[in-house]
This record gives sequence, C-alpha cells and structure tokens, in this order.
Amino acid sequence: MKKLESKKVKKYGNYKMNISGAIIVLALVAAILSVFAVLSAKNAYREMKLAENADQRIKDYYTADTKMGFVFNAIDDALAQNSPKSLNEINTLIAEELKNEGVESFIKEEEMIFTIAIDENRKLEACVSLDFSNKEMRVLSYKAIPASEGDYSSGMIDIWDGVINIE
Amino acid sequence: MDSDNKIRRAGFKAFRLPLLEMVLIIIIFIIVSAMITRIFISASAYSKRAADLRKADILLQNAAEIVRKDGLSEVIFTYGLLRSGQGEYGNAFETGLDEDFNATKEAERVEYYLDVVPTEKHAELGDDFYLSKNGKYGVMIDVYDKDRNLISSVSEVYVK
Repeated sequence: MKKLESKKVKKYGNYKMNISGAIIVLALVAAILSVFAVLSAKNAYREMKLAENADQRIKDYYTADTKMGFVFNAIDDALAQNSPKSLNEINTLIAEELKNEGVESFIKEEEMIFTIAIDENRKLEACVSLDFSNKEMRVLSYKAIPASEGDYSSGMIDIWDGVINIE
Repeated sequence: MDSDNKIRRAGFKAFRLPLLEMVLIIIIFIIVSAMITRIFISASAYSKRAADLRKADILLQNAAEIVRKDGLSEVIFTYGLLRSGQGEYGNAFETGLDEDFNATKEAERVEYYLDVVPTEKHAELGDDFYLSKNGKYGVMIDVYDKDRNLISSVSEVYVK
C-alpha cells in the first residue's frame, strides 16, 4: 500500500486540495436542483402536451364544422334548384355530398339530423327543419355530443364489479 | 501534545483529496450544472409553447366563431385586420396583436400576428364577395408569434 502511495506521489507530486463542508453543500444543492429541474421539466412537458391536445380538439372541431357547412350549402342548393317536396328527396339529392364529407343523416319526424365524427370521443350533430314552400332551411340545434351513448335498454349498468339496477 | 497533533493531522487528512480526484469532481460538477441548466431551459421552452398555444387557441376560436357567424368583414373589423397581400383566392388580411389581443401598429408591442386568407375560389366576384354577408366560402386562420413562427392554424372555417 505504502509502495503504491509513493508511486502516486512520484507521478502527481504531493499536492492535495482541501475538501470542505462548502463542497458537500454544493453537492447537495446540485442534487436538489437536479430534482427540481427534472420535476419542472416534466410538469412543463405535460402542460405543453395538454395545450397541444386542446389545440388539436379545436382544429378537429372546425374541420367537422366546415364539412357540415358544405352539407348545408348542398341542402340550400338542392332547395333552390330542384324544388324537392320531401326530406327523403333532399336526402337523395345531397347523398353524394354526404358521402364525400363523411356525414351521416337520419330523418326523424319532420326533422333531418346530420352527424359527423369530430374525433374518437365527439361528434357534431346538427338538427335542421326544412320549409319546402319558402325553400328555407332552419337549424334547430347544432352541438358537439359524445360519440357513443350509453345503452340502458336492459335496465342494468355494469359498474366495475357491481351492477346497478336503474329501473 | 504530539499525539494531539497526530490526531488532528489524521482527521485533516480524511478531508483532503489528491488534485486528480479534485479535478474529476469539478468536471462532474460542471457537467451536472450544465445538465441542470439545459433541463431548466427545456422546461422554460415547454412552458412558453404551452402558454403560446393556449393564447393562440383563444384567438383562433374567437376569430373562427366570428368568421363562421358573421363573415370575413366582421373579423376584419373586430381585429383591425389590414390587407397584407394577395392569397390564392382573394386578398389576405393580417394584423399585429398585443398580449391582450388588441390590434397594435407598434412593432415592439406585437405579441401575435393573426392572418386570415380566403380558401375558396370566388376571385371573379372580387373582394366584395368575401366582404359581403351573403357569400359562402372558407377562410384559413393562422396565428403566428412575434418572430413569425406559426403557433396554430385552422385550415378552413366555412362561412355559413
């Protein structure tokens, strides 16, 4: 051991630096700062991802909204040019536009309902009524709704490992 | 007395490191400090991007809602948009906004730029078509930061 030490002394000289309490404090500060840095970066990254998601939701909404606008435009054109007499006739006239834009349509009593997917969880639903004599379209409701709705026909809802009877 | 000195020396020796090890420790400290600084800079960039996106989203949504309900003329009036050039299908409009989304012409107060550009071909009808309340067309809305980097954009909003 002593031989090894003497070899080191020969090689690097006998100079030694003091290691004091300040260096230990510095090491602690560095460790604490790294923890804070990682935590704040993680938090900021999550915040950025959340903001990006919100941004994407807005873009998706207006993409769907624009497609719905084209459908309304097609209805207006069909009313003006073809003088249809029933909702079924309108549905046939705008079938191509509906297919192009990926819009689904349903006829419910005197109203037409159009739906288009905004994203995985939402769809845009527009409910319109048509006045064939005045060749006018009225939008009764226009809203984003959940893409899937609960099926309560059985009267039972499975919740985790239990079942709730809603009847 | 001698034994006291020996003990003191022995204790003192325990807190002394050779130069090579000390240099090594200093290098490690420098690397760790650089890493910490880098992480804080990244965190700051993420936060800035998040804040910019949230503000741009508010601006985009406001502008889009005005456009789709009242047309291009209304958004020009609301945000003080000015003609900035010729888009593919009509005049492009732009404004500089301060942090509270008020139109400003003072370059140092500009935080965001709002661009609105028609996306449908009605060129033969001229700008009057886009500015009338009866036209049906689409517009693209872009929000840039003060250094002209695109923050967010809605590719088409249909004016109904």
